[in-house]
Amino acid sequence: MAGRTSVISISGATLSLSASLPATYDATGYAALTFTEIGEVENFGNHGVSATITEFTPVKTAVVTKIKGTKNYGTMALTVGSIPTDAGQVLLEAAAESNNHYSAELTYPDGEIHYLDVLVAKKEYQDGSVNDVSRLSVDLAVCKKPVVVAAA
Amino acid sequence: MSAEKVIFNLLKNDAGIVALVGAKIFAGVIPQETVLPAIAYNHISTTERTTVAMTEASTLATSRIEVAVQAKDYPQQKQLIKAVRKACKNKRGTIAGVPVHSVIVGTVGPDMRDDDAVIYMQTIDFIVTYSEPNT
Repeated sequence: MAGRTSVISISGATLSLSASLPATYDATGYAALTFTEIGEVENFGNHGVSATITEFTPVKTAVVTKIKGTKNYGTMALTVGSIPTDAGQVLLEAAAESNNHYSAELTYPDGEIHYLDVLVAKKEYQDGSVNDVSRLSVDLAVCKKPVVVAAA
Repeated sequence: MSAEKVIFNLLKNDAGIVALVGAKIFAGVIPQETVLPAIAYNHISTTERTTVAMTEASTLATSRIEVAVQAKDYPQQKQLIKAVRKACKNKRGTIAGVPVHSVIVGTVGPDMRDDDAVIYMQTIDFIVTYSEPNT
C-alpha cells in the first residue's frame, strides 16, 4: 500500500457522515456514497483495533502465556462545537437516535481516507460555565475494520 | 482588532463614562498633558478556538482587554473604575458590528499612584468573547 512517507499534522482533516451503507465494504463501495461533513470538530479522538489478551500460566514453567482474543475496533470520541443547523450535526442527531449503522469518512490533509462503519453511540451536550464553549461529546462506535485508502 | 472596538464602543456610548471623562478615552496611552480624569485601553492577549478542518467562516475568539483609569484623587479613581465596570460588564449582542458572546470582568488591578505627578490609577481587565470572521 502506497501512502505517506513522512509524518503530517492533521490540521485540515475533515470528518463526514452518511446514512447509507456501501454495497461492498471496500474503497469502491464507500467511494460511491455521498457524505456530509460534520462542522466544528475540535478533536477526532482515536480509532483502530485493540485486542483482548487472555493469559494462561502453567505451573511447570511459571511463565505467562498470552493469547490474542477478541478484537474491538473501538470508539472514536469526538469533541465538536455545537451548531444545531450544521448539516453534519443534523445527521449526527438522527444517527444518535437511530439503531442503524452509518458510514463515516475521515479525510486527512494529504488525501489518505479512512472509511468507518459506525454506530453513533453518544451525542451529549457539554455546557459548563460562563467561559466555556457550547460543545457536543460524540461517540462513534466503530463496528468493522477501517477501510484505508492511501494518499495518492 | 475586534475586542478593542467593542470596549471602546461600550465606553464612549455610556452616559456615566461620558459624564466623567467626555471624549478622553484613548487607545494605548493617555497623552501626558491630558486633563484628568481619563481612560486608556489596551489589548493584552487573544486566544482563538481551533478546529481540525480550519474551514469555518468565523472563529470564536477570546480577548483580554485592559482598561486603565487615571484620576486626580482617590475618590475619583474609584468612581471611574466603578463606572467602567458598569459600562462594559455582562454586555453581549452585536456591538460596533462585532458579534459579542460575552464581556466579563477578568481582574481588577491594585491601586497605583504617581506621587510626584499626583495621579491616581487603577486597571480593570475584561474578557471579551466574540466571533471573528475568517474571510
